[in-house]
Amino acid sequence: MSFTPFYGVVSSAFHRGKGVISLLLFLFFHTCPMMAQKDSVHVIPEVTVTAMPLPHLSNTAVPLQTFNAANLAAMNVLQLSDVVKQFAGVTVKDYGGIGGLKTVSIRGLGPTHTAVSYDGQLMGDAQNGEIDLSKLSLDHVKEISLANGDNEDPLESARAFAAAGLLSVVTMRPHLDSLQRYQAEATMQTGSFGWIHPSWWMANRWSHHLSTTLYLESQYANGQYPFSIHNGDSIQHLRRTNSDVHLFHGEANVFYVPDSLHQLTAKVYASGGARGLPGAVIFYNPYSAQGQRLYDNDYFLQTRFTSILSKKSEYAVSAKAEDAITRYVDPYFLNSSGGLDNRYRQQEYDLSGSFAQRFNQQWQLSLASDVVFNHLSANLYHFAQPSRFSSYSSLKGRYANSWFHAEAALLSTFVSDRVALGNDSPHHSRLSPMVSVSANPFQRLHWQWRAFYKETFRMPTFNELYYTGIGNTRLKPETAQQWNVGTSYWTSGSAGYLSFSIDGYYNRVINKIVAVPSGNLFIWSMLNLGLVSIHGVDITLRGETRVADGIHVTMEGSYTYQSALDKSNAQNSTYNQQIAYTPENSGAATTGLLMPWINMSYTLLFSGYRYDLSHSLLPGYSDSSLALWRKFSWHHSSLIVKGELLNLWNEQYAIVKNYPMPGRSWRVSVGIEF
Amino acid sequence: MNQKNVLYFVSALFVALFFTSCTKEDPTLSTKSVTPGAQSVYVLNQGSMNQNNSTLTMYNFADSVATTDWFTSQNGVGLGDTGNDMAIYGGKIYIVMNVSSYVEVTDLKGKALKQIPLFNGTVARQPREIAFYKNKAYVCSFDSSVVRIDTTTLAVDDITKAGSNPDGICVANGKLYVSNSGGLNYPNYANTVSVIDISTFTQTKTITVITNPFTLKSGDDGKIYLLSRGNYGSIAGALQQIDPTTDAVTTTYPNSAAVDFALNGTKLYYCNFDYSIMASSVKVLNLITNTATDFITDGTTIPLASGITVDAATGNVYVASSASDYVSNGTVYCFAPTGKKLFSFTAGVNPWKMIFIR
Repeated sequence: MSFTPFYGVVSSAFHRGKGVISLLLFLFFHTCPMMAQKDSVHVIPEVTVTAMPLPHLSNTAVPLQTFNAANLAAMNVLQLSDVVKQFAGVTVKDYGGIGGLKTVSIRGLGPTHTAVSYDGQLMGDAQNGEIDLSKLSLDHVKEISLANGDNEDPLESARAFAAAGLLSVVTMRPHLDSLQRYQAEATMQTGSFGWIHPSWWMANRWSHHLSTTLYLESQYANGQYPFSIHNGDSIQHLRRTNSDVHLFHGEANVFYVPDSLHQLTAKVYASGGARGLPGAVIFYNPYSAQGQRLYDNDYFLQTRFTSILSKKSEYAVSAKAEDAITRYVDPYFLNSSGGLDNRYRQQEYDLSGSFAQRFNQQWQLSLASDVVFNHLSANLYHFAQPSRFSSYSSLKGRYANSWFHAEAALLSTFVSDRVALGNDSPHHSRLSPMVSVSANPFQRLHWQWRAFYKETFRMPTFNELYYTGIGNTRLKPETAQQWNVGTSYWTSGSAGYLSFSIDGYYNRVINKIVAVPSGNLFIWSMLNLGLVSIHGVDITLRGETRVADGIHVTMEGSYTYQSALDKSNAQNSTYNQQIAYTPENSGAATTGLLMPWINMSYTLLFSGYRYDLSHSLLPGYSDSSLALWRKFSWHHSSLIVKGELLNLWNEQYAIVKNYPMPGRSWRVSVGIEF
Repeated sequence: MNQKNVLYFVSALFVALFFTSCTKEDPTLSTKSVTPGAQSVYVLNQGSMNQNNSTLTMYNFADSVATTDWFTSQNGVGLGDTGNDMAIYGGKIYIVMNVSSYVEVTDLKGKALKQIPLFNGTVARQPREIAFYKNKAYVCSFDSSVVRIDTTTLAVDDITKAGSNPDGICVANGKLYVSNSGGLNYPNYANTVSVIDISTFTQTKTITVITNPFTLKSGDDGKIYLLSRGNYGSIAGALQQIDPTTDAVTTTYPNSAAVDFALNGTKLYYCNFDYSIMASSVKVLNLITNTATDFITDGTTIPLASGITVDAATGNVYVASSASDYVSNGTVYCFAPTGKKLFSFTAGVNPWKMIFIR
């Protein structure tokens, strides 16, 4: 397999006397530990990857967890959110079903502190401040990674650096050359609850410099799954209704590489969908799930240009424009106009530039700047119609020698809101620091120690500030502080590899924004009332071994301990208690058996008890799944057949109280690559 | 995310809406004789919206023990979502469940006798409050309906229509009075009370009152007392008195914003939570002199007053309080008529309505 030319950037240097491991931090296809280079910036022409892909969590100065395409193929997961659940330190709040809201919180900080990037550019949602992972497709995803602190890319945008944690989703790039000018894949999936998911992916190489991909998919499910729920001492057997999903998603990507020093990529994205909102299960009300629907349309255009100026400097510029329309309908809302029909439109424009300069083998400086404009309009009574201008600028300095790495960064943020009606929120101007150090003190051993401190903040969302009757324009930003100490070790050889990492952390969320009845019982409002203190430990373990010719066993495991305590108000009964929907113990494990005739894998997710919003206990759960798949190849084509049993033991559980998860279900897919 | 948000905010509005209370006793049954002492007090806890955690707490006077979820311990299943009203009639307890949309009928021990679902086809009526008159129960619901339930067969036998989002009901002078809150029409709340002739079971007129009326109670003096919430802005909430012989508002009490009130003879007790100073207050209004004074005399502070009831046998005043975070278990405080605290006990989430089992 070979690639079009691409660039690698050295960012860490751990191997005394053996050169420097190059991490290909952007536009990479696989992590290739054998590509040792001394230059800070270098051009790698066509590269052939033959080594067993090694997860690069072991190589980084900050905790970075990654699943590549091979890992993803071996996972028995329905959706991208199911992959994210396997990372250590992550809590996915999943309202169940295909169309249900899924948000990701890293290390107890809350979903609004996690940024999500899609092919290098951030997904924005100024209205809610959190990204619904159910929007992202898992097909043709090449890599999903989760970085705490900093992702080490010298050309990282200032806006991405501004978040406490970054979930990155990178899609497939064409693997084409002059002999193979196109590549296509058609897949059809079907499964329980009326799941039908056809998709089409095509990559074309138009010239030595230009290639494109096109991806189209549609998803349909009636989503009507049976579930059991406890009511007192009895168990009720019910069926989820009004949970159908109709989604379409299409995107086209252009990759223009005029020479080995420049690259231009562009993406056009469109998605649209309609889904029923089943809501919470309400006892004795068989019709609580009806009528409520959500329609959304999302369009964006993003482009990025990178240029290598010399062996010591490089820069990138990117731009994005997005228009997202959401409509919420509830025909049974008992108002005099005969129902609710709320419409929201969000627009976002993002312009970003970054520059990295290396002074010598040890010292490097990066500068990045983003300007972002957001606007929200809605048909709500007396709605503020807010606009927001944000500017982010970051300055990072790095020092790296053969066994030690240190980085200090400072982010400057300025945010200014304008509203058409009512009061603006005051301007906010902040400086946010980060420092990290890592060391690899033992020669020859891939045993690394690391520590970082990062302070970030997130702006109150448009809803929190301006939602009619509820918003509070005097809100202050919510601050997140992270301290992390960890170590990682990996070893590899002809028999396979093994990697292990453990990180301990202490986080604080200050001025946490919480909803409380305020001004009057009828008017709930947002206040900076919360303080959360989080101690935790993340452990990851990965390995792969060859047990016989062509037979491999893989394993991936993660475990998280989190003590996330509410320190807001000593008068509250929840004071010093674990915050809602955050388990103390959770983890995931996948083991795979890869054989020439069939591949199989088993995945287990588990979570200890949690508290719901009323501080009553929700029991722990475990969810296992099994997959069998095989790829049949002939000439230049192949056929991939995969069958999965999800929630194998039909465990009846809910992550969010009264939003039951599906029980046992199946899925099969057939794909043709040519 | 939008989905969650929209739901969240709608839910928030709902949750807030549910902080109303009302005790309505059938004037035809009320006696002026001595009320026997209570064996226990039941507290209806609303719970949190969409959590199915509405509970019935039983506090036993004999051993001073409160059982937080008495209903589940008696019946093996929970009450469901958002209990909004509770009353005793004819030796049975009627519990009005708003989001679960039914009326639970139990015996005096809290053992379930019957569930009366309240749906218009497949649309939940969202019942709010209940009143009784001559072996019939009348339940007003957010969908504008007032249903009549036969208290012998425990079946709905007729339905009529009131105004926008009814949120309170009582019987006086042989007529039904239903408050039309318009609470789901923010910011355009309603401001009327429907008068429904009981014999024809049709609305005969409406009375204009202060915006967003909810709790209605008939007093021993034959008058109706009404609490309005106002619009949370330019119009303040207030207590009002309606004369059921003329169907006119006769008095609007100044500075009487409240979350709940209770009547005992010539005294009207009302409680409030003032967000500008983040403090609860309990006041007693003398209905003869129309003067209000602070009720609590021993310095007891109530975190978040939400409901108030008087035990007619002792004159003791019970004040229910939500926890300060609204999501954990609340507390009920009992005060002697002198305003001194006698005892308190833990109830469920957002305690609210209280009845005495005698």
